[in-house]
Amino acid sequence: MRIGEVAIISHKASEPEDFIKSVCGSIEIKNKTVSFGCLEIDEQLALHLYGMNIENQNRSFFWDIVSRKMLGYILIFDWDDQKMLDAIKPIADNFSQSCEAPIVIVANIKDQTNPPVPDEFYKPEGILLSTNSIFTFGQIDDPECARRILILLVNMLIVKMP
Amino acid sequence: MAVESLIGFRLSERLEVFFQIFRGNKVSPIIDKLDNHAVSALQNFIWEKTVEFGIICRGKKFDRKEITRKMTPTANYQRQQGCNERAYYCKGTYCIQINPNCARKKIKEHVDIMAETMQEYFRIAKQREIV
Repeated sequence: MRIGEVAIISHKASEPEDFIKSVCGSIEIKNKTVSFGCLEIDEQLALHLYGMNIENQNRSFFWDIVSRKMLGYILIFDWDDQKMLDAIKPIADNFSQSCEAPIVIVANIKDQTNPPVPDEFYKPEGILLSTNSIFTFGQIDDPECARRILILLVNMLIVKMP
Repeated sequence: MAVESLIGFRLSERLEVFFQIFRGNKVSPIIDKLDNHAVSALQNFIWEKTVEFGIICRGKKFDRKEITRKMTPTANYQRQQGCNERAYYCKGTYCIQINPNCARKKIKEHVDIMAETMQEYFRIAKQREIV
């Protein structure tokens, strides 16, 4: 079986876990730093989702080692909290400068039926920030929405394929 | 693609631009944190996005004058600043290098107008949803 790995990163531990639960149905392994879930696409392909929270990470976390293996990154921040955005900014810059894997940046909202801007501006493709990065709003504890975000990432990978 | 020409304009800064625009805020304060290259890149980036959102909102009715008509015409701006350079030079790419304070002042006005225009597009689309 071929396995693709995706990192889900947020300042809050609950956000990557919510996302993984939404996509995979459950968290299979969890420790202080990482939560893990698996999405089997078919008999030959699975996606491994690694949720990482940066709340208790110091600057020495080995992002360069983590990033080598990943198909892509999903960075999540709480739309209602500027501090959460500020916390993921250095990671967004680090990934965008050091690796070519696509990045989806998600502003997590509580109610996707009432987004800050009408959804025609960010759906279905998201808002392109660069060829490697996209911004979108999403309610990550909603399975349909979490899958839409994952599909955004997969679509970016497909576009990048030679 | 246009966004790829944004030398020195980091992903976090692009994100900050949208964070402020989506909250109905001005984006000109961001300019004070950027170097000259990034200021030009930010101006291009916001222009591209305003046009993109204008097309989403207005469709075929979109006209770039919806954005530019609110901006101070170049000739007027140059007169206000007592500038004798050719109008062609009054652009983010040229004057930002030789007279950054003047260029930044003009770019601040432009990016705030573009942000307001995007916010107007959001309001129009929201109204449409209600109706």
